[in-house]
Amino acid sequence: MLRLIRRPAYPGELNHEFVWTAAFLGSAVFAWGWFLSGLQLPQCIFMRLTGLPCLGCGGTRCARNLVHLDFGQAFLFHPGFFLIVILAALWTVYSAVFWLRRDTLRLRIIVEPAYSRRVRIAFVALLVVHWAWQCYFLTR
Amino acid sequence: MQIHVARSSAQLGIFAPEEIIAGLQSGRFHASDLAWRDGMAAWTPLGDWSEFRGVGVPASPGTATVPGEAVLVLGETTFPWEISRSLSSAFTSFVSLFRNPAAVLTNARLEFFPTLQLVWIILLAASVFSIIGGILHAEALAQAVRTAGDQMVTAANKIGGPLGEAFAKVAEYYTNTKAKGPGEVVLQVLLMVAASPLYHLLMGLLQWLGLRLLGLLGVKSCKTAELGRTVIAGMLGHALMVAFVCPATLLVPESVAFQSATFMLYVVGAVLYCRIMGGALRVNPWVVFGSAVLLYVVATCCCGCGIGAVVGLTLSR
Repeated sequence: MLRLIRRPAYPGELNHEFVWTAAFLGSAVFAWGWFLSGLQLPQCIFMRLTGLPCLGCGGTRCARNLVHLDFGQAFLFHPGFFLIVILAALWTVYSAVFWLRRDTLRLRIIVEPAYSRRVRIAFVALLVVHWAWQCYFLTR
Repeated sequence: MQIHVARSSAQLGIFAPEEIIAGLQSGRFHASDLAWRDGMAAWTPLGDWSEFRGVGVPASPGTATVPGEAVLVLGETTFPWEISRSLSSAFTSFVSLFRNPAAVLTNARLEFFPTLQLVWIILLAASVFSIIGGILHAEALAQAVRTAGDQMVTAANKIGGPLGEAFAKVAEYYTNTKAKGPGEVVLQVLLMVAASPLYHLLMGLLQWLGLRLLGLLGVKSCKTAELGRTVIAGMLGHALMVAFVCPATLLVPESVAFQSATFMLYVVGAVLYCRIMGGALRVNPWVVFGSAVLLYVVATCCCGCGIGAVVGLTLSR
């Protein structure tokens, strides 16, 4: 279904090894600067209007727990954000190894064409389950 | 064994050899399209593959004939920053991006490092406002952080237990904030200038997801949105939006004037952002707006206005 492959980059391909690592590290610095600058995060309008969390709700609390290395609580507050941060950290480590080794083959995830539809459906189903969890955990 | 095919810096997909042969004969693929499969050291034009030699049309640029698989084919760039790199061309680029982004971005290469350099120059110029505002209103900004810290303490007390304690420790850090000196303000602003374009790459990723979401809903122009071009255009668009909002930092934080000015400048910046994205991706700016709003409704906290998504969707059909 999903497969990891190693292949050379084609001409003009986005340098994912550099760009996403830079985006991850840059975002961490940006978030730090944002919290220190005095600027406020906007309140969740969806939550205010409906009383239910949106898909992003709990992300900041997840980040705060991650900073304090409380992984259990971080996961409970926002499993999706937790997973993204973990994957971004792993990608950063991989990218560092890639650059240090001066590798020519790049790691890519591919979706087998035959399973493309199923992967999309699974992704949407996962979002629904995630939201159901947020509705339960964040409104207790 | 399956074959990966790419054209004009976009990957077309993974195909079986029989599909490639049929595609070459129908015009879906060109002999100049690059292809790769397991075990090969580099991407090679399909026309050079022994099993496909003699099949289909000769190598020629152009768009694919199958709807939904078209990729952007770029002509000669007219983006001043890509023609010559200097402070004056950065200024010309800024002005032309403001006046007619579609005209300069349609054929722009939008490569990562050159675009990042332009973004840094624009943000650096705009950061003068933030530095002056940060120095003038150092105490008011520190007070805003302390207020946020107090609110966090209240929230931490409500949570209670070990989590509440951990939360309270973070809050304490904010409640003890002191006004920054000019040197600290400059350093912090420079750090933000350096880091924010990288953060905006992530926003570009969200934008790409939004466009592809509209593509799934049937908006044809969104199916061509290529990830690399979208995130780099997103970085550029966000930088200009931020540059427009920066003058508001001259006003007293939290005041009515500050909030009104921020809102108005943000609207101008958002319009500019949609036009830049639309120009770079050759889609209607309303489609960009619709996809952004749709994504905000689905996945983020702010601007949750479903009407925008409907308007964008309707206007794009």
